[in-house]
Amino acid sequence: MGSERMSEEQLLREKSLDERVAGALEQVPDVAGLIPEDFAARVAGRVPVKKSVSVTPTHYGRWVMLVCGVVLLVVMVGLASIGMMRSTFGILFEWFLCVQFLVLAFWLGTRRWREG
Amino acid sequence: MVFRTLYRLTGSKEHLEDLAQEVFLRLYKALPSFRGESLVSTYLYRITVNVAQNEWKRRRRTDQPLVSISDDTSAWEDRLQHPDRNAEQQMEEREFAGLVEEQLQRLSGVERSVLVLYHQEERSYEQIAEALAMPIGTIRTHLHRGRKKLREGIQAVRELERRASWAVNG
Repeated sequence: MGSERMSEEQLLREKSLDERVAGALEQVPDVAGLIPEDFAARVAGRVPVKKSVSVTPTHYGRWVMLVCGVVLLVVMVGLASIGMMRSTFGILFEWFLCVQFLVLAFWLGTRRWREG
Repeated sequence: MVFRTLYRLTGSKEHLEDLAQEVFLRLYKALPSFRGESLVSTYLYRITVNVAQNEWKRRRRTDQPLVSISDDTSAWEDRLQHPDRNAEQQMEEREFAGLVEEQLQRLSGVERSVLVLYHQEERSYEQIAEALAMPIGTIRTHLHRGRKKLREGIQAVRELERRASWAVNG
């Protein structure tokens, strides 16, 4: 009986202490004096600066097409000079290269017109 | 919110501004990938706790002893908002609050975070679980354990004081 009463008292004491602890934890600290007035500006000053993206056109595609056109022309002239046009395969291959060259020339020639 | 949470979690005002800046910078960098699946405040609490955890690790590495806010010369107890009471009651409340803070800093990081988010910041279990990326059951367990450790720590200190007082007075 005595021990039961003691444990009840102990439980009550613990509950009371828990409530006091909760009350202490629920008290919000006043940190207004710890926040510098220019805090927002300081944070903004540490934000990394974004690098601007370059918009200068490089025209890499156009230069590659020009080189391909020149290479095609050289190959066509070279094949013609060694007499490949005598065979059926040679004629077909020469025509194939010729069509490619014409397409390239047309594309490069009309590019500026399409770009306006 | 950030300053007061960091203050309570780290237990001192040392590097408080730097830590708060770190929180907002991390938020700024993470915002483009923020999909709105949770509240921004929950996300901010998560970042705040992570920054506090990094600070605890840094202090452990530099062998800095746990700083009790009550040891701070700026008087932690004065920063707590008290209702109007007589001087003796106020002093007792302040001492008790200091004792609670001292024992709070002895808890594990997770237990401390859960207690601060639950009691001081009044977050729900679900919000705390989301902020700490833990199941709700785990949060309840940490809350229960944290409260128990706080209570036992305070009881132990009071018992020591009582015995010391008895030894002095005879």
